[in-house]
Amino acid sequence: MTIRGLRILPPLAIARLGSSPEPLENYDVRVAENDPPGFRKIHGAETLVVDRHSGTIRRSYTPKSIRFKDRQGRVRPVAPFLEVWADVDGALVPLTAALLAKNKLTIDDVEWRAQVGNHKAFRRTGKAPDRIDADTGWFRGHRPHPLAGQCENFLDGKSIPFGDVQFIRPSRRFPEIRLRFTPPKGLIYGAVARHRKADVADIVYDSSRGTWSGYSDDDAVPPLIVTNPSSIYANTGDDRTTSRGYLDDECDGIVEVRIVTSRKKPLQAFARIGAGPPDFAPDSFPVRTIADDLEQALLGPDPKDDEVSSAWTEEIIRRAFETVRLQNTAALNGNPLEGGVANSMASQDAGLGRAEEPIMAPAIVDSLALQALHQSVFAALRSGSAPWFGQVLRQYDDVGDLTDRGRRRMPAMMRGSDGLHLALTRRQRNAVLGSGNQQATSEDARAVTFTAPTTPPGKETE
Amino acid sequence: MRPSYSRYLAPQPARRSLQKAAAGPAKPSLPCELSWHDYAVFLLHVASEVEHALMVQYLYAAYSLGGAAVAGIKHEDARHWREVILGIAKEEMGHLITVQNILRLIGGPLHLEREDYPFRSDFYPFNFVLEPATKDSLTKYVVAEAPEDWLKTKEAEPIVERASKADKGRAILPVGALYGKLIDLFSDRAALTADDFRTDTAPYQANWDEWGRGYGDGQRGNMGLESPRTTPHLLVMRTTDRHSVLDALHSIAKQGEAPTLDTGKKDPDEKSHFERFKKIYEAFPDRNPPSRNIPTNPTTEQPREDEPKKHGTLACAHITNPRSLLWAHLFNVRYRKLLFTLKHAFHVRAGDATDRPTARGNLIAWTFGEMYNLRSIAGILVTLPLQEGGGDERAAPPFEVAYTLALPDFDSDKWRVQRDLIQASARLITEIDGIGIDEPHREYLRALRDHDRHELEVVETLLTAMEEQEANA
Amino acid sequence: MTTKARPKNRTARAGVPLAVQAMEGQWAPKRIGSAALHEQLSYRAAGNPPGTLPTTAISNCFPGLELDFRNVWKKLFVGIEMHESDNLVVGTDLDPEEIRNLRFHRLVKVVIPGPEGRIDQPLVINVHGPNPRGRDTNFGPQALEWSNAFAYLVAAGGKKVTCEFTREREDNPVGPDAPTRRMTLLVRNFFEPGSAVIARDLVEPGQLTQSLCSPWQNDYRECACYYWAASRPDYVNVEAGPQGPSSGENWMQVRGSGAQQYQPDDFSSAGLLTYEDIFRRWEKVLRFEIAGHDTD
Repeated sequence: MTIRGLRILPPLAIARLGSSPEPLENYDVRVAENDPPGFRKIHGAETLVVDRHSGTIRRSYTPKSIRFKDRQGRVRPVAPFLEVWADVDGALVPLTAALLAKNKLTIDDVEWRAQVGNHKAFRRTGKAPDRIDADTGWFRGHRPHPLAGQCENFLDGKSIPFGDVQFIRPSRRFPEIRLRFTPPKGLIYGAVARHRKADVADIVYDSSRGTWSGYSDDDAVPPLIVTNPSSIYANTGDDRTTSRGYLDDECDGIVEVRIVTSRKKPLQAFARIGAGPPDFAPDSFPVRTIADDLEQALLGPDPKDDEVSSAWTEEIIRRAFETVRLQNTAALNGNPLEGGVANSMASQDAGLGRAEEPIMAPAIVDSLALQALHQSVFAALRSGSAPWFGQVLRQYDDVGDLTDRGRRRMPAMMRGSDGLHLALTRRQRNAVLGSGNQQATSEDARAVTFTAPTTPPGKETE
Repeated sequence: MRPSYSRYLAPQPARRSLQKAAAGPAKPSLPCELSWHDYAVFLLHVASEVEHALMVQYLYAAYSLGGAAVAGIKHEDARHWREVILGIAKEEMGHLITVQNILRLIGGPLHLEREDYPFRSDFYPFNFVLEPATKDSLTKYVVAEAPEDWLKTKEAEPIVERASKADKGRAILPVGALYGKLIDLFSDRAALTADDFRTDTAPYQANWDEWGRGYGDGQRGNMGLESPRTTPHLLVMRTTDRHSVLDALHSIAKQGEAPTLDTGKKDPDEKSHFERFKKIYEAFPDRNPPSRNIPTNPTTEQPREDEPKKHGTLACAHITNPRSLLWAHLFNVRYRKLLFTLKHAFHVRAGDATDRPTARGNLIAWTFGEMYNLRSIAGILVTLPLQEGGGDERAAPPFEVAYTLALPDFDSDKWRVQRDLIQASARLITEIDGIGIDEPHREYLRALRDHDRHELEVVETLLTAMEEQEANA
Repeated sequence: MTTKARPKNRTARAGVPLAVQAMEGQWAPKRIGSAALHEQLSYRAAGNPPGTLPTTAISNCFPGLELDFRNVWKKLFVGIEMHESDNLVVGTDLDPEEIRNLRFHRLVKVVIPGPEGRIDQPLVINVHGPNPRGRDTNFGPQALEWSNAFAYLVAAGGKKVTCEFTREREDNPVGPDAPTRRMTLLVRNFFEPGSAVIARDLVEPGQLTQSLCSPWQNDYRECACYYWAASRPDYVNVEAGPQGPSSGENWMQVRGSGAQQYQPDDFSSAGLLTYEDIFRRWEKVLRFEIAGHDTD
């Protein structure tokens, strides 16, 4: 039972902002068995209630329904737990007080550290004193450790709270070693001058020291060093590129665990955390996610035969229509609307010089019609039909094809990381193509043993 | 053949090559009860039935290919051939839709009906028969799609002979003959005058962007409008005048047979039906074809004691296994729904918008949905037993035609038919679900049922809205 | 040991991706192979709702919502720092000189040892399509997104690969055929060895969010809806309309303001939420959508 190493799982935990003191409860999201093409259903799941003062898990329960805002209308933050797992004889198991004891260690030997930053202003101005960083330093014990975002260019004594981390005190019922990251509230902070008072929670940025307030992407040298898309910060409204000097409390960083043992090197591991906005459609999922990109990095763009499956392909189709049904596809197709043409891939393409016209034929792109079509494809998949649509998935290097044919490839009407039409990861696309081949083969394998076709009576044969 | 059809058919249909047609049309002869315009409508109805019949027979042949005992390279071949033939069938669907566009242009009624088999006529290339793919059956398809100059070659001789033998000694008629006749007629300015073309109907015709979903080739930078000079995979062409009709007819004929023996095209998908079928025919084994053990002319009709014994292409195979029978009925309902929805999608009143989503957009999406459903259900049927007592023979899609595809007069009632079809389908789904079936099929049924439920919501909304509109009119 | 509730329903179909099973509560292992990195990556910790998983975080990052994943590629090569969204070298080590001189040059191609031999991976494509007169036109070069372009490069972590840079500083985009000069650079490991965590030296704290909008609320007002409808919805409260097409509201529409008629997203339109609404009251005015309908 010797601990050879540590990991923190999950390796990347997303927290979501909200000002409610009650974190969002736990839930599962499942496909409804009695309505497979319908919305996924949200079911309450075991929720751990942490006593903020003592750091213990006071109780656990399974909520009957999930409310994403509290009674006061505040958004309930998503505050992830990060568990420490121990590598014992080639397998990872949750690290517990008992396992520590077997290795002649105690809870008090466990140290944590969290470092997060918000480098949004720094990314624009390029000036190091504009970095906002928070570091708890190494700590033991179970009280919450606030992540106070410090910045050289802040007014004296000012910081941006990035939430806190708390080492959960193991108990008999919950003996695992875990940390909880409680994200910040989702507040906006301002700079001296240029802010509007009601917008900001506090004025933190010293405009006499730093240039963030009044900064403009238009002045960048060379011009393309700016973010893409550019000028995405609150502006003064005059030219739409002059920064109002606003900052937020989104952040990302790492949490580390360390156990000093009698061995030469301490046992050590880290994981990454980030705090972003809430997922406002929690029963629907994007067609391409960070998990897909991480999987491609981890396992490569070519799934093995035993990795592809019709269930994976179905998940990709399901996600496509989960997006479609929350989009006004007629507007996003570039159909003329009463108020003109909506901002859409069609209008973006026109900005590049392409003829401005709808992407698909205007008459067939109503959201419900497209949903019906996706649902038919989905039903066909469940019948065991080989998915034919692998061929119409956009290839990653075909994103610049703005011909009708190119723009109508799937996923359609969505924007990718390069600003052009979205392509799936190469691994996702290969998975769909691969399951097509596999499906066709297994469909045949299910068929009856071959015998010569029966000749109808009276029919001549050679 | 229906007598109503046969009496208009000239005893010797003109057989003209496309080259001759282009060189200068000869005057076709007019059946004595018809006007020229009427005759054009009649021939387009015949063309609709031919395209429809070919599509169904090709689909059946495609579904027949495959099976577990088909091993190794043969297995890959079978899969490839199935995809090629399915592609051809899809293109026949495009031809069928284009012919409807021409009917709309000249103000004729649309025609998606099909005589239930078996039947034949002088314009039908061969006797209609749903049969698994064999080397014999393939010869019929090769000859039916063949260009006239190939038919005269030495290479053609044995194939033509074999095809005829497969069709009970009758000579196979190339489809090109019918289109030759249509081209002659539409080229003749004295027969069809400018007055016969309704140029205002273009917006109410099916177009490539909507029906091809823009996924074919030949679509580069043409401003979203169909480009009549190119031949996309799924040929759906709008027609606006005499010239574009001739263009469309030529293109259909070309996609079928390719006018010359020019094999310059490297892309196999760009080849004509004739070339694709010939290639399959050449590679296809004489014995032990890689097809499933499915019957000829399956039917949901149950055997009767007093039934006279039919032979050859007239023979029908009764689907007697109760579970397979329900699936076969479900197939027929969805087949009817496909045709009815397609026809319904064509139904527009003057002034209806085509430049933004309307109910028509839903109908087009649903038509595509039914195409997937037919393929899915056919895929399931060919794995189910044909007969009640078991045995090796499998069931297959019967493609039985409904008693009517006519559109009711009132708009609300058109939606009522949609509701009827969903309800009929729902009953069958419940019945099949009740038998206790294999898990993968149950998953499909659920997905289909739920898809239908979402569709029914839209149908009910439209039905109510139309009723209100009609009551207030 | 953990008391995480065991899911009762274990009927997950074979082949369902692990990340999905985790989200469904169908997969909660108590033991994971230390080399089973995919399992580690997909693991959902006890008590964590699905929104904590990268499975729910969008990766079409222009610039993104939770994280701008593009930043993860900036320091993939030792010695240089790339722009997150362009093939422009934005920073370099000071030594050696030939590395230092790469600043503001462009990386046009990498030569990657692939599964079936060498892959010449282009990093730039030309954008083309019909111009207003219908003629196929080249609208200029565009760098591919790193994640897909580097898909095979990740496996070369710890090895040196050949990179082709423009010969000169190029402030503006160059096409795939621009003249280049070859250099060999070391590729960093993407993951910390033996684990599924993004390597320490690839991104520092603050860097995965640095190119997002400041504040993010501003982007919720400005970005239209063709990015992330499954997280930031566009079309909600949708019903079948009496004419066939659907009717519903823009997520950004002020509720209760009259007819349920979709208004295109445009930050200057009346009837839509304003910047101030979102800066000051985002928790109140932004709705959660369950089954496509407002729930709070």
